[in-house]
Amino acid sequence: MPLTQVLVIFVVGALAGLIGALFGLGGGILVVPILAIGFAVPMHTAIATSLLCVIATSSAAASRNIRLGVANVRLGVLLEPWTVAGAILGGLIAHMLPGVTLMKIFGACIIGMAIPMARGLRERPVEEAPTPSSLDGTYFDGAIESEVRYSVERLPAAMGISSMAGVVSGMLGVGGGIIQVPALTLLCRIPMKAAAATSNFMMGVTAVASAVIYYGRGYVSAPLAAACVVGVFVGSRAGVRLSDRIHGESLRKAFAVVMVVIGIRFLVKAYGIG
Amino acid sequence: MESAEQSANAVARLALITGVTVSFAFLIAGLAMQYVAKGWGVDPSLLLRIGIAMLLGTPVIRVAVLAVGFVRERRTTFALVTFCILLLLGASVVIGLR
Repeated sequence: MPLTQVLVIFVVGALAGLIGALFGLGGGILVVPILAIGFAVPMHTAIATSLLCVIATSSAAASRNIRLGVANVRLGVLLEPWTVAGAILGGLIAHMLPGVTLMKIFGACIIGMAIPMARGLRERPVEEAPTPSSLDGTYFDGAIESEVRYSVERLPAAMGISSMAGVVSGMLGVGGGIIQVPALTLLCRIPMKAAAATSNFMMGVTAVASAVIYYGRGYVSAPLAAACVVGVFVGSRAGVRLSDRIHGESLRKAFAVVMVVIGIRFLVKAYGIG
Repeated sequence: MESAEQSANAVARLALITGVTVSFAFLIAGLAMQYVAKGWGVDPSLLLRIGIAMLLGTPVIRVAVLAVGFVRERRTTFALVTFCILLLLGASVVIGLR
């Protein structure tokens, strides 16, 4: 791989990380289309690279979220076996499928993901259970300057959805947060901040489970992965800082449109139209 | 006084940030050796492979640290679940290498 291409991938990775962090999606959702469409990287290699980016961004963010107490570590631990098992299955399914089929699935999924993205997420009121549980969470919310206490409801449903999120993560190289955060918020009635932090806490381990399968199958290109991982990481750190200042409803909707365009572009390429 | 679980969380945080930092050091050094400082007698692909391996290992170490915390705190359910995660990750490595 020539040096110029490595530098371009670093810059593009940084942009993907920045945009991904601004919308709380991680860089993964943009890395796959950028590499597969922009650089004609084989789909399996693009997914493997994206998974490595997810590990890096998730590990750094998880460290911060544990320190702040926003991530519910116990809940994350209880859900991780499900996401990890799903990710192994997703990695194995992806290995069996040709790149063009993965493109079709990715295209359809990203269009599907754009719908909740455009609509936004309405939190249900957070409630404390009458009897305390070891999964109850507490964190200080700086935005409302008070402590938030919550209980976790419908754990079995969260386990089922976590395994689905794991399959999607392992098969498509995206973090899985786009499935898990709404599920934790709407089903388990966890505050959105805690849901996002807990989902992020799980993402790194989930991505490792499928990334080693891709690595073992020879889908990881070391220079490509190194440039992209470092770029996405740098961009996502900047994105996290910027996201505190930007509150754009219209930006979120614009990004949903971009996701639909990316999805259509994938489907067009996969079906060989045009 | 800090509980065993709280100190395990603190160690897990440290493991995550250290793992990512060290991995990045290897990845950046590998890229530099490959493209900028050629002929320094170090195999760039080895550095890149070490960097990727460290990145893959970072979340696994985090799980192991939490497992120790749960064992010390005698939280049997959580300890068993973390061991289950480690087993699953071990299985994924075996599948990956086969």
